[in-house]
Amino acid sequence: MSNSQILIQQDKVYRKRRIINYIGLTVIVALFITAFLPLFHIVYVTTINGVKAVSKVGLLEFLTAPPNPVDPQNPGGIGPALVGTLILVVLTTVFAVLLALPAGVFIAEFRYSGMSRLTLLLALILMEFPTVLIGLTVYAIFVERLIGRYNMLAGAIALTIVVLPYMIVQISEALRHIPYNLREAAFSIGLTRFKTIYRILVPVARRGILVGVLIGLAKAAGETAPLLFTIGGAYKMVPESLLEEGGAVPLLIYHYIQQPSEAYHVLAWGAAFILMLVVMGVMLISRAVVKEVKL
Amino acid sequence: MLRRLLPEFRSNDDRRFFLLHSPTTLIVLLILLSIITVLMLYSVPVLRKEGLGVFIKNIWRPSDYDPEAEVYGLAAAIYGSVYTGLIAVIVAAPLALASAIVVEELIPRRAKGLVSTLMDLMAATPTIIYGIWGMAYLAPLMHRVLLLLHHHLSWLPFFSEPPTTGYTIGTAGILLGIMATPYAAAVIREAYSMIPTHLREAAYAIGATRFEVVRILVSLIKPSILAGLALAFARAIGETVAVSLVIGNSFNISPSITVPGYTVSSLIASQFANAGLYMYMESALFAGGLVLFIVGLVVNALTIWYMKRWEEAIKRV
Repeated sequence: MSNSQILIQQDKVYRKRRIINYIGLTVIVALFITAFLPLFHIVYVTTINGVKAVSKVGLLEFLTAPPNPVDPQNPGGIGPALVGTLILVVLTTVFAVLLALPAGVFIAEFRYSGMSRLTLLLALILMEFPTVLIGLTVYAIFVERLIGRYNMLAGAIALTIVVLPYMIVQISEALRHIPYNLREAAFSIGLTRFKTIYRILVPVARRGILVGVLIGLAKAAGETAPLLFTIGGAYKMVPESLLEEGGAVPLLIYHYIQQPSEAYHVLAWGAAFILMLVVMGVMLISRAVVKEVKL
Repeated sequence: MLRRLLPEFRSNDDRRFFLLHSPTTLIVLLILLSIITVLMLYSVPVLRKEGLGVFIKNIWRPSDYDPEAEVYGLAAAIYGSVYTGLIAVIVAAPLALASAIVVEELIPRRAKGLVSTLMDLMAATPTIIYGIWGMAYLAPLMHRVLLLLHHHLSWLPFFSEPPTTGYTIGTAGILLGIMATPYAAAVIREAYSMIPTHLREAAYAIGATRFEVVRILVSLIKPSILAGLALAFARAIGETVAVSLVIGNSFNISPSITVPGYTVSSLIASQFANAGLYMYMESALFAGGLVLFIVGLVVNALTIWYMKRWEEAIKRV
């Protein structure tokens, strides 16, 4: 084979590789764009339908009035369900932080002991648990056995179990990245370990911890399956005590979208729009607080 | 053994701190154990009545008058869970892999933050919103697509039945695939970013094109791609409300994706409200929960173990 033939041969191979390169990269980018199309479409249609629903009665009315789906002209709002979600989210956040903070500290502090590694492993397993199973369990214990009817407290407990592992992992990650010399400085001035952690290290890691809490909060606001068998679903009025049946925005959407009449659907889309705004808002805020978010 | 459970204490202060925090392990353990216990205890009545047949038979016959005449079998629901889960994995695999590659390899660093924010938003969007979107927009679209597929490809068993509505196993599988994509992508991305830089540099140094580099690097993270897809599968079979809105809710065992079906979790969601009226239905639903639990646990345990091994391996490269 002469020299020029080799060159032509090489040129052919090179051209083939270049073409494959272009085709391959194009396919990858096309798939990448496809992956995000549903998100854009979801945001688009939820906004369109939601704005239509909300503007029917006005924003303030929609956020405060009880639903009245029998009247298509004035279907009311989602007030009581929104209050229900608020109650659930606040309770869940309080419960979950009280449990997740010590657990996260435990995992971050005793990195090499079997017990804290076991805690992390259990949290990771719990994180992947189908939320519907958590709902079933809480129903069996708190609704059927202990209280005897659907109640808001059971809903909050179910949501706590759902968000707890996320918070544990996030908090332990946040604490793990604190430079070691801070801890040494605290010890050197004679602080106890308890004070070192809770007075020095936790405040230093507050951003990461806050993000963990915010993500948990957003998750609690949007979960439906754990509430299906726990809070019942009363959308017309606010429950008078935690041991009473109540409503929540995601559950309202689930129930109303399955009703045949159009006014229910309008309310469901409006509620979905509000829910989406809240959840995405919280996510964007936490994204702005720290760069890496672990879901 | 106990030695390895406990850390080394350097002072009494350390010991006190440890003791004060160790109950958290018990709490998490207690939560897990109570879920397992409740699922098992509540499935006992139906297991006693039907035996293991409850997992094999495809029948759902509540009886208003005679509890002994009630017969329940979860076969269709279990079949539907696995089937939709597999479709979800097939849908999510290329999407998740491609988005991981784009984020980690192709786009400039400044755009990376924006794209990963979008991915986080996708993961954070409540499942109920995916559900109503699937119901109102994806299902009608899928109806048209499935009609077309049935028209042209009805010799394939997957499209053998004519679709009467858009609420089908196929629709549920695709919706689940879309929902699981960001989670699978996150696992793949994490693995991708753990590949040592010198491997990428070596590939570019011998003149590999971008696509060739990507192919080499992807072949290195095959285990974590599998893990990401296993995670997607586990998520898919656990998903409840979104599926129950689009799957059509009927007891079918058919190879065709154009018919309505059930998954275990959508069965629980849609039947639980009236389960209290019957003697054994609630128990049958808990038995379904038990199946979900076992499948999920096996998939997750395998994934966690597999990933650990791979992480140790890649660190040695």
